[in-house]
Formats: sequence, C-alpha cells, structure tokens
Amino acid sequence: MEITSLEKDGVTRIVISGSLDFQSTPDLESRFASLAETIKSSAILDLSGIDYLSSIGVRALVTTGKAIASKGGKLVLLNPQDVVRTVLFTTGVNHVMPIVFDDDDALRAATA
Amino acid sequence: MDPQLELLDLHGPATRKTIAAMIEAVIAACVAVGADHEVSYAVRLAVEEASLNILNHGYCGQPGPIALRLLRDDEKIVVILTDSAPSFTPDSLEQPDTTSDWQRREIGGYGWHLIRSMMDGVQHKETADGGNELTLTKNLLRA
Repeated sequence: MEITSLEKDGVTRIVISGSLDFQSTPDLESRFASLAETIKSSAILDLSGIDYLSSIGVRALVTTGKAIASKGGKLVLLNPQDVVRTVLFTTGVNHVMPIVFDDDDALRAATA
Repeated sequence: MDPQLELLDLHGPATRKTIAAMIEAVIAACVAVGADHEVSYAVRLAVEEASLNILNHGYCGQPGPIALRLLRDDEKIVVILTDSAPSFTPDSLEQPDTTSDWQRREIGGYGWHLIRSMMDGVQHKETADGGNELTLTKNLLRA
C-alpha cells in the first residue's frame, strides 16, 4: 500500500495504490486518521491505483469522509477502477461523497 | 472436461494468517481456471468477507476450525466454507444502510450485502454438528 499527499490551493490531493483489504486497511485507517487531522478543508482521493476494495476498505473511506465532513470539508473520490466502482455504488458510498472520473470535476466537487 | 473439478481443499484454524493464505490460494486458482477479473474479484471478496465473519462473529475472534473447498462445477466457481461456530441464518441479517446521509448512516454490515450482490448464488445450511456450511457460486460466463 502506497500513499502520497500534496496540498494545493487549499485542496489536499491523496494518491493511494494497492489493495484495500483486511490486511492493509487497519494500517491505512490510522494513516487516514492522521491525514484527516491535517486536512484544512477538502481532499481528493485518487483511487485509480486501487485494484481491490472490500467492506473494511469501504468503512475506512466512509470514516475518513465523516472526519473531514465534521470539519466542514469534503472527501471526493476520483477515478475508481471498474469493479472497485461497483463496490462503491453497491454500498452506497456515492450517496455520501462525490465519485468523479475527471480531474476538473474532482476540483469542482471539492471546492463547491 | 470433468464437470466438477476440485481446485482447493484447505483446512485450518480461523486466524487472519489462515484467511490470508486461503485468499492467496483462491486468487491463484481463479487465475489457473481462466476466470476473468470480475469473477476473480467477486470470489476473492466473498471469501474475505465470509471468512472474516466466521472469525469475528462466529468465533468472536477465537481460532475455531474453518475449511474451504473451491470447485469448478461446469461453468461456475463454487466456494464451500465450513465452520463449527453456532449456526446462523444469513437471511435474518439486516440490510445495511446504503442510502442515508452522513449524520444518520450506520457504518457496517456491508460484507454480506456485497456477497449477495456480487455472487450469483448464496446458500447456507446447518451442518450435522450444528455449525455452518456456506456455498457461494459465481458463473464463469456472463449471461
């Protein structure tokens, strides 16, 4: 699991790659929690490098989104692969955070 | 072709290490039978979700016995997971909240919901010793 983050114009862009499964997610949850504390407003999470997402990963994403929302910000998910997208929509993540497929749409959603 | 081919027959204590090894073997077996990405993903996810439910809920974190058989049956992948945890009825599990907003949403219960959504068949029966046998099927060919 690789994770990098960069803040620009008040929006934090996070890129992660690998599998969000029961083995990687506990570590990721604590790293996300630390990251969520440093995020000033909104964040774009680039999921294009994530090849697998299970329910524990969904829970980590929703928990992180809630932490950011509690400070008035927004977590935007960018460019999930096909089956990862199916998991996100099946679990209704699309009802609680924007899922977009284009950089410009991501920035618009993060700053709206 | 043999209509039913046993791909895996694994047994062990239900620990995170066992489950990780089972999942790794399942992924390799799916590749070996030529399953496409969507099928392999669904089977991997179903095994992860169901076996973690056995460990976390069935055995309350204790390493009770777990067995996994993986078959290719005609044009289906069949996963049979057996445990000795107290019998339960998957149909009685509540559907998770997938539509509420942040404030009202209860996080959790997604595992079974994903299994039902992504697999083509889910069958449960109580074993002779009062445990559980869960049979999960995924069609190799799209309808």
